[in-house]
Amino acid sequence: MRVQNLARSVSLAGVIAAMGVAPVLLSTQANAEDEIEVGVVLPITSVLAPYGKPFVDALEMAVADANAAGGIDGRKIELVVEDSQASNTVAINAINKVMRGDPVAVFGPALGTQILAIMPTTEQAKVPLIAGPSTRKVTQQGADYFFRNSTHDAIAKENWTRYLVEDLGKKKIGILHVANEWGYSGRDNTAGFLKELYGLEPVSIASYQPTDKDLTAPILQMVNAGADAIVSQGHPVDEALLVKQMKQLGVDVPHIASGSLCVSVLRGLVSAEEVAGHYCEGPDVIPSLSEKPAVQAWVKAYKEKTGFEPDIYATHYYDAMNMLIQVMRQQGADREKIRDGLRDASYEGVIGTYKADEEGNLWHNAAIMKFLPDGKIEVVRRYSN
Amino acid sequence: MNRRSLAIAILVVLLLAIPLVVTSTYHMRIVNLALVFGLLAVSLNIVLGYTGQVALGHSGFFGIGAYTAALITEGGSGLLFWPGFLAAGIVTGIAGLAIGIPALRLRGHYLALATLGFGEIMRHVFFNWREVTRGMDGISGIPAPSIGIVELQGEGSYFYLALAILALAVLFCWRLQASKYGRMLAAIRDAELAAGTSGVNVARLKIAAFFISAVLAGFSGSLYAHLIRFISPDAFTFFEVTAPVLSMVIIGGVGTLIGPVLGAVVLTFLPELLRVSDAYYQLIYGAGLAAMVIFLPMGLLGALHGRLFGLFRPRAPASPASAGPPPEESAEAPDMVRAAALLSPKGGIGTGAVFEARGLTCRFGGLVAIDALDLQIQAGTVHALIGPNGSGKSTFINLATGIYQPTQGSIRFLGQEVAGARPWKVAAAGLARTFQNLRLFRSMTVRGNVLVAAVADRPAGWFETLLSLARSRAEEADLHARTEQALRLLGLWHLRDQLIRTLPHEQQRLVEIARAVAMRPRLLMLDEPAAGMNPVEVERLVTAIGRLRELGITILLIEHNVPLVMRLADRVTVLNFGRKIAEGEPDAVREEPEVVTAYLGQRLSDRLRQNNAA
Amino acid sequence: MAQIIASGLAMGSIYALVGLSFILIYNATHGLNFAQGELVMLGGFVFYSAAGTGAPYWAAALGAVVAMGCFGFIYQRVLFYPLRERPFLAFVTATIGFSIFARNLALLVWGPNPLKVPSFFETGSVDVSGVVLTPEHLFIIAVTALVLLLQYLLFFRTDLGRRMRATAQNAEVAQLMGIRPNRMIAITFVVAAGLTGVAGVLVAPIFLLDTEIGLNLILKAFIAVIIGGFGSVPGAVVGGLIVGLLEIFVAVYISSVYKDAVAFGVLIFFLVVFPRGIFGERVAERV
Repeated sequence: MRVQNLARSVSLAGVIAAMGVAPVLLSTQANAEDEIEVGVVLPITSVLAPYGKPFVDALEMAVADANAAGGIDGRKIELVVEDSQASNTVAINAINKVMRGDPVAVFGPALGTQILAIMPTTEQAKVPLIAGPSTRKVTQQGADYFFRNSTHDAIAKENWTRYLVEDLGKKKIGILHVANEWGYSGRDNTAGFLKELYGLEPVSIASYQPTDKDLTAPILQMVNAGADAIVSQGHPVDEALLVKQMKQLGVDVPHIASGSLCVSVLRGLVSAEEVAGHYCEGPDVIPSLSEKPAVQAWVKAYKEKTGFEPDIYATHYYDAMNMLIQVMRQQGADREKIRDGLRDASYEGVIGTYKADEEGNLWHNAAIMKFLPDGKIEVVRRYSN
Repeated sequence: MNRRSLAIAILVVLLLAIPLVVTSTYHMRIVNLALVFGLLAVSLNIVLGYTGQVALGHSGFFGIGAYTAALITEGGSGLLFWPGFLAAGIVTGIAGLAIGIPALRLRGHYLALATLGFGEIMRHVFFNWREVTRGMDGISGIPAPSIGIVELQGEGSYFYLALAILALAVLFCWRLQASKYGRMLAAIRDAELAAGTSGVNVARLKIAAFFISAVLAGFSGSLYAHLIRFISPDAFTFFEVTAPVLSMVIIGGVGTLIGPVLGAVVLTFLPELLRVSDAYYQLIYGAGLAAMVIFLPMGLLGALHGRLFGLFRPRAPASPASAGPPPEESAEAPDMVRAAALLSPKGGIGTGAVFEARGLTCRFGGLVAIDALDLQIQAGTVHALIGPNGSGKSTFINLATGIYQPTQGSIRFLGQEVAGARPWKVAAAGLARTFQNLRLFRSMTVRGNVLVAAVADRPAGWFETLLSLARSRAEEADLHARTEQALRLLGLWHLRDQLIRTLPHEQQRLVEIARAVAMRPRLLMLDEPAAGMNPVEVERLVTAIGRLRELGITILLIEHNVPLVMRLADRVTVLNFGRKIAEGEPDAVREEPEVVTAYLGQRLSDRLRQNNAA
Repeated sequence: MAQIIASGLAMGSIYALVGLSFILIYNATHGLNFAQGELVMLGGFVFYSAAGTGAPYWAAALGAVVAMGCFGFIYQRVLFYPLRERPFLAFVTATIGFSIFARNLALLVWGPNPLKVPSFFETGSVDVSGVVLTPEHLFIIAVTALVLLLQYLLFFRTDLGRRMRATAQNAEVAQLMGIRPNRMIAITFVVAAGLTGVAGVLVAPIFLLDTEIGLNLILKAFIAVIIGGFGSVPGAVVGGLIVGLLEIFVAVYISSVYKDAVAFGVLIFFLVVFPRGIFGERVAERV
């Protein structure tokens, strides 16, 4: 009787498993032969969707233009987009799925941990991976096929440390950060440069959980420690909340936020009035501030497609896609050739020149912007290499 | 048997062929993930399905296993997989004990939320204990497992490893479920109190279930780490792990052997099938999950058993309840010699006062339920305890059998202090009971109910039982023999394969008595055994109690049916408001003025009820 | 200090509302609604859309609460009613399914970017005799107090409330007394969903809306109802306030990183040492 139950259960499980697997096996890969596949692994659903969807839009715009202009030697580019959600496991599944189709290159998420999770796969397959995570460590893993389309965090943090100490003359600096890899990167870099350049210690370091909405406690910690300037490294939602709650708590020492605050402003998460007096930094100035016609055209086109002005990170994805297209046109759509091309080429994107360094960083600038009470944005410090 | 073996053989071959058929690495990865989560679902099913403990902290166990394995093997050779795997099981098992022991105090929703809290705390530890776990950076460089010199590099070879481990886990569960421990776990799930008073060491088994479940979860965590080869805290949250695995168990079939694995396969593949739409697949997944719960009340396994499977395997006859009327009882008068051989009290009948309560007091808040009660029960007698409703009779039994703690006083049973002892200790000492409001193991048959309580002379240990060694098989035969005698004694043998919940209440009362008798008690406390019985059934009960006496079981009888008490009892104690107001021979007691006063209203109503019934 | 307390009480009020609505459903049905946080999230998004139509602010808020109440009816009809005879885990799993559904629905309808809902107040802060307080915090505390008062009046001063309480205590007896339990349960869901709607309206301006705000809220609500005593309505409220205060005091004085872990530690401590919570009933099984 029991043996029978076991047998029945086991065979039943087999039948179901077969039923589940069969349709997947039968699914054929729908890529036409003559299309060039470029993989995209970005968070499209989940809480990280704001770090994925805008980049997909930017990539699609670049591909649409290239295909309209005849593709690569007559071959169209096809983006194969997979959702990485807010999960490294899903990201790994997504990269595996993308790799089925033999892409010539892959665009990855601008999230250090997801990149660290998927990089072994792309390195093993020797496929170029282009992404914009800020954490410097990503490019210090000895990867041969990884390219960062943005500035790494050390450059940006050195820039804001110098600005605070040299331009503003502040010595008692408080660091406020979200308790994850991105926040710790800001904390460690800032504290490191304070020490290295000026022999200073931060007067206070406070962190908060990514899910926190009430930042009263860390803000008060800064106040109680007597900070005369605050730097913060968080995500768009919490940087916006931070600005708002600092105002409510009457804290008006200079505050430089990470690039996330630039994004919150562009997404309308914080009003011009609320953000007045605060600073945000980034790999470059907010694109819409640029007077160059090419940038203005890009801003206009992006706004038409998505309803938002592009932030600097979406612009980096756009430029990097165009750089990839140029490399493919010049060298051919082959993984090795693309890798070599990305490593050697110098590319003029809409916002400036991309050129790889030893680590595979394509962009090397940084900027700090100040929000003025009249709604204008002033560039207070630039760094370019 | 041949066809069955053939079916299994074909299935094994089919399973083994999967890596040969599925050529895509990506799909093999999904298959392997299904195996890993299948193992985790099996693990959850042990506490959830077998033991009925609602645990929602498996993300914590899974994560502990994964981190243990990852930290041990990181950057090392694939051979480290094995020590890492074992260590994952051990460390997680210890965590299981750390949770299982305090969790003994909790059940139902409380346990659910406490274990959920444990999972969340572990998430914060993984996330914030950066010195060890590297926080959000995660741990990479986890090697592929190796067996000897063979490195299981690809998804295909990993599949065989994971499949073998999962198969072993399922086999283990199969043995567990079929063993006496499986019965005991099910008894705890169905009626925890009654399991305890039937001699099941509830605390030890619950902890054991937690431990086994945690070890398996740790194993699956280790497998996960070596499959993905990169772990970070975001993979071990309630919504990433516990919620889907809970869904796998619920949708596959709670408490079934293979249902959880089935649920894991279906739910792991579901998103893949839904990937037709990038934007909507999560939406459909969520709705599909809810829909499956709503429309598959018995789980996938239950839904398919009746249909698809009927095609190529004749089903076992439906439950005997619907297979025509059971044979008449007259054909099975018990063989008293054999019954005496198998069921006479363990340790002999004894002499003198087997049971003695002194100054026993029990208060609930301001209410005094039992007030300084002295009570002696002489070996071999039928001692009746009567009194109006609320006089403290059931409270007394609950005190005597370890369910309530006395506020004051002592209870000595066979010279041993049992006041405040755990119910199973009292049961093991030879004190059995029935419940006024029935507490049977609802998911089991009549025989299963009695088997739970049956006591063998030479019990087998965990090891022997799970491997089904000779001693364990001998024990099973012994238990079955004693169970058969107990059922025959109560005239229930013909109903042995009926599901308990299909029986009328009066017969369920007899099953409770049979269950108690199978424990071979020296003292049996019957709490209103005749409640709701008609005169014919009462006569049957009288016969049965006579047989119990014949075996030498001392009986404490709580009963409202005064004529019945007068017929059966050697001695009567009368309680009122928790105090003893009279004690003595039945005839003497019924004349006591205090008893008459206390009882008048009650007796009148009893008379009226009897007249009406007649 | 006053700021810390006000801030803690404001967060605590939100937890109290979520915990209260959770416990109302529990008392009526013995079901654990794991999607209670998603109802808050939906309430916030509906409020955002209603405010976007140009309707007066108070009308948008009221509209969102009413809409969530109506949704509560559909919710119980679709998710609870078919499962009312099943073990409570079935309902738990179904609500987990719904929570995935709701988050992705919101993602599709309102897009991936977080949304900002304008504040109810023009000024950033009010100065009460030297102590700077945030009007939004005071507003949340005041509205929560008002809602709780209405809730109390509904339950203890109206016939409907008495019938709802009777059903929650013992559905069978209530049925014998001529009350229709299913109807009372439906009304309870409507009230509970309305409460989460209130919570959604209150958090929308101070949180910035994204699809995941519900996840954290439901976990905090669990802690709140345990501390307060499972099944106790005043307990859920007091528990919520305690969690809010505990969180901010731990963050200020101990560690902001481990404050959530501390909160869950308190949960387990209460469960193991003091399972009745503050207002709860005896946990031990009655024989």
